[in-house]
Amino acid sequence: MARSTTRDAQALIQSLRSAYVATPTNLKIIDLYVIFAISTALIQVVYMAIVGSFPFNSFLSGVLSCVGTAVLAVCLRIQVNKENKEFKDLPPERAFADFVLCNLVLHLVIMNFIVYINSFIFNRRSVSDHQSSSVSSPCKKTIFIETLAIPRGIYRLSEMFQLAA
Amino acid sequence: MAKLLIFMTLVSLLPLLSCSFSSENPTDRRILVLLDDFAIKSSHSIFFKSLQTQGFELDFKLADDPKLTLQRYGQYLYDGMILFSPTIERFGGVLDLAAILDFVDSGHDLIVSADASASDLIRDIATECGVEFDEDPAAMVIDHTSYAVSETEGDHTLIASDDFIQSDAILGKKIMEAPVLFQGVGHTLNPANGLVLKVLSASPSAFSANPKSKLSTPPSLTGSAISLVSVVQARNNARILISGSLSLFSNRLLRSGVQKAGSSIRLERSGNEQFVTELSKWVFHERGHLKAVNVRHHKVGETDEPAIYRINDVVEYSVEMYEWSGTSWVPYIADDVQMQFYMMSPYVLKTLSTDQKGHYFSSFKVPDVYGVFQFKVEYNRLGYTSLSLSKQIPVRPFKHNEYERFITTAFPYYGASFSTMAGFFIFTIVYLYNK
Repeated sequence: MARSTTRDAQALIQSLRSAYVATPTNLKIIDLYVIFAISTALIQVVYMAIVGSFPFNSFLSGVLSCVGTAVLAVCLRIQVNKENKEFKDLPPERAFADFVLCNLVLHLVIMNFIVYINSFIFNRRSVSDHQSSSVSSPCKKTIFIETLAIPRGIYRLSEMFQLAA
Repeated sequence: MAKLLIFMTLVSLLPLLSCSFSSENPTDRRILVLLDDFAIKSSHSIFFKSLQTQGFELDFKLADDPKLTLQRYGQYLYDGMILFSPTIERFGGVLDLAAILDFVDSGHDLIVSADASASDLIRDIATECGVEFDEDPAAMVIDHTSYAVSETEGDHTLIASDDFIQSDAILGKKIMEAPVLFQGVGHTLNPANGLVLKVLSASPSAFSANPKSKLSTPPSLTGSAISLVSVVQARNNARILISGSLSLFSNRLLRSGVQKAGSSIRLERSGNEQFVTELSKWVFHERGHLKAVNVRHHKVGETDEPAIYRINDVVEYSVEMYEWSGTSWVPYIADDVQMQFYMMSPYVLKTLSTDQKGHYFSSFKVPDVYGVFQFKVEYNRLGYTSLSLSKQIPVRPFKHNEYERFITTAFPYYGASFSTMAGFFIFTIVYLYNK
């Protein structure tokens, strides 16, 4: 029984590998890029687990940049893949242009989020040291621009987790 | 020639203008002395003469003089008052209990002396100042173990007491050489009153009762709770001396020798003269009067005073304190002056270091909380005027460009996002130019 499962597993892996070799090169390049982005995200998560979540917004923006660009690369792969019936009429250049523009917006957002909210974090840290917690509420007010909806949503969610933790 | 004469006369009158009482010279100058009758003026002449040699101008009046007045055109005519009229029922002129209390409330000093059979008016004045005399008008302080030995077998109402308050400011640096002779009524202090002090207390064996009648019930005032002479320093630094005996100040007791019962030493002079002289110096602000000037604060390294501080600034605070020596201001030297950085509660409390010349300073870091703070110095010491300095200063949080630009622990995240950007760039090149 065991020997047949391992042999089945090996056969499965072999067939997958041979199928993968058959994919076009540009898709393989995209896959490599996705793996690079996800591994960078994983390294950051491990680092945060070790050091603690002090500049939480920096952690979030770092992870978001990796995960976001991986997601955009996956979208590109879907749209460029010739075997995909759904995007048959979409010119691959258009898909690539979309990919580049979205990445530009993503990195603009990341650059803003990674530093700008430090004042926020510092205020909350410093005030919590003394009993006058009422002064913290004025500075929790709106600093965000409306286009930063995604990071704000993530930040609010993560705030809930941090407060819970 | 005539013009020159007029000019010279006018110029010679100028020094008189500077002789009035001012905050630069806190010692009282003009003192109103109210007496029951002018016999007291001669029977207490040593005390009055010592006051006059110290520089006070005494104005003797009868307590029921119909022309008595303390104010003219809204200004007080006197800086201090001595009430040696224990039997007066009503003052003459415009003086009454309220007028005397206003006098004290406006910062002027008072010496009140009651005696056996003191009137209700004097008792009321004392009660308003925080001191309660024995209700029985005929009561006197009797002490059978601590009385003053005399040739006649008395009723032990003349007592010798050496239970003084421990204060260099109130009683002077020299220790009292001899016990003080006292003959009069005793009073008690309200223990809840923080401003009144017992300067001369009775011994634990003293009690207050009528010496001529037999005791039917135990006396209400006994022991060391009886105070013979007390002082009150009001919150506006007016000083009041309340004594239970007019003869404490009299020539007879000032000149007599003293021998305490139970001891065989007979001293030539009682301690009365030293006691009343030192005490009157303290009451009339010749001693124990402090002032604090030149409060300054600035950031360490700068000299001018900013209008606002930022959190985590290092600030230096300095103040100069002087004590009035009777003729001039000398630097006040102590090691327990404290400064608070206060907003609802002291965030920082530091003992100021001193250079032994009256200059007190300290530096500290502004706490990590923003708001409107005060530099507060509250200095209340026994016998000294209370100092309450406060200077308001706001503290602001960091401006958004005053934070750390790059947080060290976040470097991996910066690195990750930049490497992602670089990876994206390389990816586009590779993808586009891949054959």
